[in-house]
Amino acid sequence: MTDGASPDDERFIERLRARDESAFAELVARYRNRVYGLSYRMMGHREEAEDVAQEVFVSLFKAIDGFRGESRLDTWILRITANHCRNRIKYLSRRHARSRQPLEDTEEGRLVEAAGASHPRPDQQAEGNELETIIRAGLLELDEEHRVVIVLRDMDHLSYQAISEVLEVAEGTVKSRLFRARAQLKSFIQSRYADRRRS
Amino acid sequence: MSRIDDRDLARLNAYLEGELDDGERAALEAQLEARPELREELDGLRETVALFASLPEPEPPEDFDRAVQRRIRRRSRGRYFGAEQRRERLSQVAIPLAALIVLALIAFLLSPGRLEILLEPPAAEDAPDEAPAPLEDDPTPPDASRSRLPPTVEPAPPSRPGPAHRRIEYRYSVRATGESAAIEAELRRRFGARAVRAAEPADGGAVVEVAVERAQLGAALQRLEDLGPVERSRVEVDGAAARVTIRVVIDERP
Repeated sequence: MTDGASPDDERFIERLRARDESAFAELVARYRNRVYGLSYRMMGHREEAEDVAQEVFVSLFKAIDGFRGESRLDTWILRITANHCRNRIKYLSRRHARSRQPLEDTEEGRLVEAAGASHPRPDQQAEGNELETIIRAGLLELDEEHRVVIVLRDMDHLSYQAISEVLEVAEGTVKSRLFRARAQLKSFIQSRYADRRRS
Repeated sequence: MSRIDDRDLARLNAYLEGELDDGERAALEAQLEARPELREELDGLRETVALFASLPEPEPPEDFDRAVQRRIRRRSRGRYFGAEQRRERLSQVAIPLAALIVLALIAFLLSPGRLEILLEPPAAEDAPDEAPAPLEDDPTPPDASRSRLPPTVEPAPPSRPGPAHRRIEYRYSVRATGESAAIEAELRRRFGARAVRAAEPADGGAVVEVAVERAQLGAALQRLEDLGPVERSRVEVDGAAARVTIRVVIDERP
């Protein structure tokens, strides 16, 4: 069982393995915000994030027998979430490539365009919304390897060790991805925000 | 101005994360004084992290949990999380059906001749036209019940509908065959002291009046049916006291 897992956790996992519906409902209630939050930051699109997050919980329900307790339950859940997001991003990029959909027609394209637009839409006038739009667009500019690290670290506040367990990469890799992601995001925000200010 | 490389970025991030030891931190802070571009980069990174952390946490839609359950139910072909759906389906069918039944029952109970449709049409010999005796809580002594004459309670004059409200009395008759005293005793057992010898019909036997509360009518009729076939029912005037008179004809066989 997980290091430091309390007897309550162990009983909870046993109930999950027994497909106890109330236990699973509790699992969804405990982790829906983190799963959906990571999905949303990774996908940049509410409907896509909702679909991915739902699929994550379906996978958890199916795969709970495979949880061997070698990592924490939340680490395992975030790993499955990150994998789902990665797979969905690949699928969407293949689909976009096949259909040769112009970037500006995609959600990413719209965000990037909105972030770089000289004249923000009325609903983006508020500075908070403006910044959020820019940051979201900046996130989507990062490749998914860097994106997931910065989200897990700066939004989910996971330790390097936890991130390395989620992503199954070395801690050093996590650190290098993180500082590159931060630097890239900083440059994007500064350039877009400066453009806005000038306009 | 020197270019910021990956090594600088790594150190700046480590500084932000508080990972540098005292010596490394002092060395970096000295460099920050000497290299404004490094200071600018550090400020920008710090601001980015703060901005990123300040974003509102995205929240799943309100029906997220149910949507997950629906998805699992669908994938498991109803094996899991099906109870709620079954309850929903049941409530979709059962509640309107129950409401319909209750409404039909109410309509049925409120209709004046409701039980006539269940019972045989009036038979003249069992339905004397005299008004029934609305019985009070009359503890007729057992000895009196054995005496066929005179009736312990005189039939009351027929009630008449008042101008203010309609008064209805229901009367049901059952032909019970057997020894008179035994039937009377059985009636008393079933209806307590409320079974009272009321009259002797012309064709022999006896008439026993039983008063029951309207709410108990169904049970009383069932007890009557156990005794013998209920032959007729008839609507009489007077029912405002919510009292029902059941007329039992004892067809006495010597």
